[in-house]
Amino acid sequence: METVLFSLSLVAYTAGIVLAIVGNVRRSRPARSASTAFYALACALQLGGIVAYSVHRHTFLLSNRFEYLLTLGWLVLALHLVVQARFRIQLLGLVLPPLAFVMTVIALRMPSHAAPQTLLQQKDFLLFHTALATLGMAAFFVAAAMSLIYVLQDVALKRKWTMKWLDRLPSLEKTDRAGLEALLWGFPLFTLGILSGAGLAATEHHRFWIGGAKGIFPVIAWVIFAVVLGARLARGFRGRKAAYLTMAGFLFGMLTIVGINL
Amino acid sequence: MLVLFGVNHKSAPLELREKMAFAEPTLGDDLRRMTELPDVDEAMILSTCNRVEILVRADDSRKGLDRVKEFLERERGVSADELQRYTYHYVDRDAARHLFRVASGLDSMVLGEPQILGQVKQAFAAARDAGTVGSILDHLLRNGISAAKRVRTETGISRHAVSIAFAAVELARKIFGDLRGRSALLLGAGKMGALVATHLRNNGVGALTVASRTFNRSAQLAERIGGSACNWDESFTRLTKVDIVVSGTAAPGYVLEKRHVHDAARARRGRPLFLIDIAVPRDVEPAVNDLDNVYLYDVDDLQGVVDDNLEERQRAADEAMQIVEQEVQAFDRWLESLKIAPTIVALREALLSVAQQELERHRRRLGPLSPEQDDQLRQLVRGLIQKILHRPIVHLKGAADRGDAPEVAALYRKIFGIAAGVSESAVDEPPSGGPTRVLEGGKD
Repeated sequence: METVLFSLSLVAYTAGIVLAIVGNVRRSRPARSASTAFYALACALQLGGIVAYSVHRHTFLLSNRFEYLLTLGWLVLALHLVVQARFRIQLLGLVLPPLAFVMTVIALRMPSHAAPQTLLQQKDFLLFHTALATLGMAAFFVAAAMSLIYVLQDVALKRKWTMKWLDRLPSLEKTDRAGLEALLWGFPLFTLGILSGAGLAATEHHRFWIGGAKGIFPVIAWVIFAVVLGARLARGFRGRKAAYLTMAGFLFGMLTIVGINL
Repeated sequence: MLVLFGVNHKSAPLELREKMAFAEPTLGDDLRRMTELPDVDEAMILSTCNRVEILVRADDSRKGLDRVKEFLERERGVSADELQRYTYHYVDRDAARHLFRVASGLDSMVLGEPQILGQVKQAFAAARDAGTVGSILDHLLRNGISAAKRVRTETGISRHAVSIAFAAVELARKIFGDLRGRSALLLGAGKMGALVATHLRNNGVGALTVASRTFNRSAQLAERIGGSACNWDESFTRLTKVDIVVSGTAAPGYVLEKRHVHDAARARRGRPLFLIDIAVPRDVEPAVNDLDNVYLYDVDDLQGVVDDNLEERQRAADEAMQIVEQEVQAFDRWLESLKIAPTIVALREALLSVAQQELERHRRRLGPLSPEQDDQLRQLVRGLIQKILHRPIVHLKGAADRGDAPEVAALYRKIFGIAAGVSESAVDEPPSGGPTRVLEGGKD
């Protein structure tokens, strides 16, 4: 069942991406609307697949790369729909959903073997930890995409580039606002994810710090995001440097995946 | 026959365009007088600051053209020599093509400018109100308006700014998005600065402050463009507050140096600042553009944007001409279809008449029929005629598309023994509902 749903979601993703390209290149409003509809369909189908998978396996702990990437992909797509509804940044349809698509495809090519044995009483806590961290990363995904668009627009304005495709980029102000909002949502979730991860490590390994990719990269990412967000809120730090730092934080966050299920 | 006669900014000097211009309040009377002329059946006048064009439908294009020229000589005092030297005219398909190009902004002084479409619509409305537009001009003008709309939406010809002032507004939107509630500072009280500031104001910029070395000049300009004036020395402190600075002073050196803007940028805590330097020599030190969140555009940069946009419009214009050509062909097909519509009507009437006669002749042999049976019989005959006529009608319609409608219509008239001349009279007076209905329906 879940295989069919995931496959159908990939078809809907593909249709959405193709229509987003057509809509942005030809400035066709109907194509862009149809693209959003297909993305919404892909989102619903992928969620259905995740639910079917959980029911079939009687568990969903986000404890292996398959589950993590699948959920992160779905969350990125869902957040894209939220951001689209709120900020109407059409170009985002060419950034976030394709990335979510790639994550889903990679996940579906991975073996969905069972998570390592976990004590029954720790299962709920593990789900709590991974869900928060994944939600936080999905928000950072949006923030990083916004930062990328910001840098492009900033460089284009500074260097006086006049290529016509640049006209499709949203304004600096809008991109900055959307990026900050994503950071404000992502940071508390990611922080709680890290704290719950430390608690989980303490109960499993009797220490808060487990080291390795799973331990180091999220902390580096957290520090970067803390600096960016603190400077943004306290000192109005923004612009290209803030965008670069946000992207760096996101990359370190993504490196955490390397440590999952190792 | 369609005849378009006129002058525009390329063909005639302003003096002649002024002489030929038609004022809006008397346009209706002028149009009516024109259609009262012999040989002129329908008329429309497009009179703008850049062109005066008269579109008429006449049985004979030569005579129609002469009547229009006589009208202009008599009513506008234009000499025969001027009409000879500065005017142009187009007939039929070429007239349609020219009108469609004009409505699409492809013949405008600023390529692709959108105002002309509104002016064409107004001219059409005025002619309709005056009762000087018949079925042909009505169809032509509707096609022209639809062609212009297609050109605008499908090519985006008028999407990009082609003046320095509009380019500045376009760039400001790339930084701030919506300009509503933004504030601007104008340094200097020159014409170009005032123009850019006015465009910013018209596009939503709220507070606008004018500063020049002479306070009185600033105050006068501020009053004219709906802003406020401040002292020159005070203007530098405003750099920390405003979003956009337009600088157009006559100062020989830099008015804004990097250190000034650097200090202001620090105080702005990352809020972007857009500097538009339209002065020659430049007012703002170019190194200012290296500062974070500060964007500086000088006249050359803005001109570069305008040039690129003009190139873009030229590319779009090539695409637009294809659309215009498609619409001209569609109109031409419609015009051709008028020539075959009377033949189709006559053909159907001829067969129906034969069928009616045969029906009456044979009905007596059938004995008494109930009203239902009688109705069934009539429907049967009509159905047979429809089926027999189906292929000839398709063939005639095809002839309209191919452009040999008169020859094919004549052939059918000859085969079926239909009197010649019906076609011409029907073009003058299209059947009710229009010939298109007859062609499309193909049924009574």
